[in-house]
Amino acid sequence: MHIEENTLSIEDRLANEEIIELGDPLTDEYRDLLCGIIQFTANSEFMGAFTEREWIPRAPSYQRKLALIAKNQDEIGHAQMQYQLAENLGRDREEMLTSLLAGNTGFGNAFHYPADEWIDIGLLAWMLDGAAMQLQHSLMDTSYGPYARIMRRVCREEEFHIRHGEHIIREYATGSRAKRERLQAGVDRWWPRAVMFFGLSDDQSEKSKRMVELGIKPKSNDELRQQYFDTYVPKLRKYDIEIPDENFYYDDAAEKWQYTAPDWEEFNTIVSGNGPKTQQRLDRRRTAFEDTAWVREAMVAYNEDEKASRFTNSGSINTIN
Amino acid sequence: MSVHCGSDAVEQLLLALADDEFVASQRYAEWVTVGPTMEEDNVLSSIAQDEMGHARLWYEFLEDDQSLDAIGYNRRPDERRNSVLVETEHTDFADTIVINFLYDTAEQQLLETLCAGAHEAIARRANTILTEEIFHREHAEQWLARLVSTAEGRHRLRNAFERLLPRSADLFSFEPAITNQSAELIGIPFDELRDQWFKTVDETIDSLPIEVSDGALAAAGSPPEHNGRTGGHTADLTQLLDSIHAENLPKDHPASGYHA
Repeated sequence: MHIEENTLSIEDRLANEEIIELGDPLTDEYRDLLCGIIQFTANSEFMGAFTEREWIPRAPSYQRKLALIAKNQDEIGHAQMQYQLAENLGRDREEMLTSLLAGNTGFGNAFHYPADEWIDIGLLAWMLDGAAMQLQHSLMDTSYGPYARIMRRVCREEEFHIRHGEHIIREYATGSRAKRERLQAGVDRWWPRAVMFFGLSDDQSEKSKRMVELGIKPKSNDELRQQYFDTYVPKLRKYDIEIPDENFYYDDAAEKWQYTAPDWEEFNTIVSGNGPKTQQRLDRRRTAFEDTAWVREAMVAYNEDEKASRFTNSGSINTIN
Repeated sequence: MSVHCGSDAVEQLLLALADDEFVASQRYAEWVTVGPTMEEDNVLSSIAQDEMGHARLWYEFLEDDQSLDAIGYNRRPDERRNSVLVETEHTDFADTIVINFLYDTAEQQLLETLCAGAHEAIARRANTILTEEIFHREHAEQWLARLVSTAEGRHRLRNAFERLLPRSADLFSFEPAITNQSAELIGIPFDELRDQWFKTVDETIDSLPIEVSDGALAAAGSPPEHNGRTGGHTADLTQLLDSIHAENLPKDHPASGYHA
């Protein structure tokens, strides 16, 4: 029975609602699309921490600093788990990192922008992680089992990050007039980026459509975007925050939110590595990578020494040969 | 600060240990996402998180009617009692590991004496912290072993010891009020504790294939040039505390107003 299942094509297996597991035969297309989205979510976790790290020293209170360090530690852990997942599918870790640094693989659009104010850190955690969460949550049902299981853990921890973000938002929303103004100005900056995060509309994105067909992405870009509006519009209203889009409303007849079409030209410019902060952040990370090359070389030498000494210590292998 | 746990000397000692943890955490956190590997990014940010949590444990124990921010965040350099070793900026990974080793060896010894002490609430906290600190020390030891595997690693590690051993001279150089009461506080004189620390450090360096000068070793055991334990800090601490207090924050944040 089990053997027969494995001879089915991926499409047939998906039609049977089967979960794909590590070691199952994969088509090149499935593997490439799967590794593509895994690298995207892994890169985004990592570059997210990279964006927020600037604020660890400057976090405006002790508890906020502690929460921000904890959050960043989680994000690095999430990135690590996901890179490992791609490694198990045949990708090389160092290559994935160098391809991120060279700008050949993308990461979330939010992390190409500056975070000059503390409220930006609050909004990144609440509104932008909240957008990413729609995707991550949907990926708990992806057709690739190991990815789905990692996403369950990721989502559990992301809940805390969003709560940390919401604490900051609440502090500003119920604070002084100056704080309320900074909050609204922050939402004005970040709202269009959150709307764009989900990517092109489904009718414009062949790749996204194919990923949905293969069950890699259980929900389409537009579905996730609408779901995000469902969740966040009431939250924004609760905090008396205006949605900075005069064409935004719920269309009862169409049963969906209508909104101003995002500036996809800006989106493409940003995610192709030309955001206001993209190169500066990648440069900093490249420098760090070069500065610590000697540490990785020492690790390799140490592991080789260890292997060699294990070999000599178990000397009998030599005599048998 | 009012008397809360026995004596002023106890509070001063715990405050110094809290400041060590706080400042060390801030420096480790500077490594977030710029470490040599992702695994190491993960470990360094986890250590930073531990240290910030440990500092909070002591600050909350000491704070009474002060806020955590007042005691942990807004005290000025001359009010801080951390060792100058932990305030040192470390952007070379060899420095990071050497500070990790020198400081965590000392901290482990101090915590062990507190665990054995008569004050139950202090012993309980010290014990909680100690269970995590042991991993920090192991982290340093594992890296010392790895880093000496190449010529460049040995060179950098040697330089790090040369630079940082003199800055570790104040680890046990507490104020007279604390030192005079060491028998009641920790059961043994701080000098003796320092000798134990020095022996461990000396033996560890001796076991590594690097040549550290007698001068640097001697400096670690001599009276400190800068003594953070009595408020005599280096410019590194001012830089670190300034970096906490961003000037473009709204006025009602705890960290605002420091520059006024």
